[in-house]
Amino acid sequence: MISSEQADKLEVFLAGVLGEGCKLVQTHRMSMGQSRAMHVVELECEASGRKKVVVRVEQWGLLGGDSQDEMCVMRALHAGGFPVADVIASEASSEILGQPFFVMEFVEGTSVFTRESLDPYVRALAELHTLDFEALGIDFLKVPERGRESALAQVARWYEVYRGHLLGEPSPLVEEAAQWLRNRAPETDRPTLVHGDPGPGNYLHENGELRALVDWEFTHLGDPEEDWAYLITMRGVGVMDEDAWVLYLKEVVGIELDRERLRYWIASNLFKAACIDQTALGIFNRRQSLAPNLLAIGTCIHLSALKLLAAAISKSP
Amino acid sequence: MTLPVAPDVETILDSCIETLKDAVVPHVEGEWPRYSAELLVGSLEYVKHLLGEDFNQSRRLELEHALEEVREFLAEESSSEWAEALAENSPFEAASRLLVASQNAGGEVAERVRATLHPVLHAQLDAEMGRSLGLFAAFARNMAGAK
Repeated sequence: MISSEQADKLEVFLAGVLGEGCKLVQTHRMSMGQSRAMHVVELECEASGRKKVVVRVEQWGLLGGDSQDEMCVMRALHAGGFPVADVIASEASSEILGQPFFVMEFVEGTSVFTRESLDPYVRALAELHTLDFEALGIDFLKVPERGRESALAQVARWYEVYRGHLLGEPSPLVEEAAQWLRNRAPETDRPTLVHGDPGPGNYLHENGELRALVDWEFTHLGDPEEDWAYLITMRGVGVMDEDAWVLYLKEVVGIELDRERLRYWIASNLFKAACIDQTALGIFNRRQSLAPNLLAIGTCIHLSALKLLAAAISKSP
Repeated sequence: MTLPVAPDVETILDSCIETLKDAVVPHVEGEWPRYSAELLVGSLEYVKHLLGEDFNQSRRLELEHALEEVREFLAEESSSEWAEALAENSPFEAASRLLVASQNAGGEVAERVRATLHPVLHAQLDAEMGRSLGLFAAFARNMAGAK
């Protein structure tokens, strides 16, 4: 939560970036978003009146990485007319809220899944994969070489996070999965912008209309099938089964998923989940944050991903 | 004056869990406080399962036992990769290296390595998941999205 002392500092910061005198009326933490603490901040501003902004605060490296790429991609996409909240300001130091953060516009809507919101959402996700990222000014992300680089880069990235945050001894099942993924990395013809955490709960909609895609902390350039696999297996797993998803995506956005490649990307996403979730236990055990969601992510959520990962790699040749 | 009987730790935990569930959680307003309160219930249930037994030690012993079995059937294999893996002091390091090597090697021996180590590792995984089920349920309820 934001302490009163932090709120005072935040009020001064926001008045500065908004360019007018603003009084902070209240803050409340949202339950959505685990990698960052998300606070809705209500302000009473001298010229523009009552307004809300969202403050997205880093969490000691929880789930790996910082906000830099996320912010820059969001800014570029917003400027290009893609449904993403505008980033208003950022603070790289920990002096105001104890961790770096950025401020974005508040977008009206809900992230509670409804079936009617799905079509516009998957169309937007498919559009994301067709965007000319260089034309949008996204020239700061590493472009994977054609071939197996997109897949191998993901294994390397998440394995580094896993090893970098390891508490005690390694998990043999994680180590085995990493090698399984390295040995079977598929080729990618054309790297695209990848959201990295797509699906129900990570987009806002209102009255059947898509308002914004949120949670861009895992965005990178890579294989679009990574996103579809994530949608099907992770966030969309309760919406329909894999077969139904494959049919649905073909019907709505014309994507024909190769099931063997899909199997790989499902395993890759589960590997990513198992690796990043482990970071939470370190933050909790070091008492950097004693929030119980970190205990959950670092234990049962990590274990659940590992269980699914072990099953996924045992099914495939 | 001392207490004639110290209160039982598990009973105190049950009291915390029941009280949170019945008297606190239903009345908590605000999505983050309510979510946190539900996670506290799950955390306390998890603590109950962690009390009493040294799981780290029992897991280590189970794995060491499986590694002995692997050591026996790998004794006649000439690959240095297997031998180097088995030379690791930590059973978790040794099992890690063996399973990585098994992914690279393929064949019957690799299959046998996996068939010996996987049941132990998967059983440990299942047991750990079982202990944290309450926490998992509390966390999962939040994944449906928010208004």
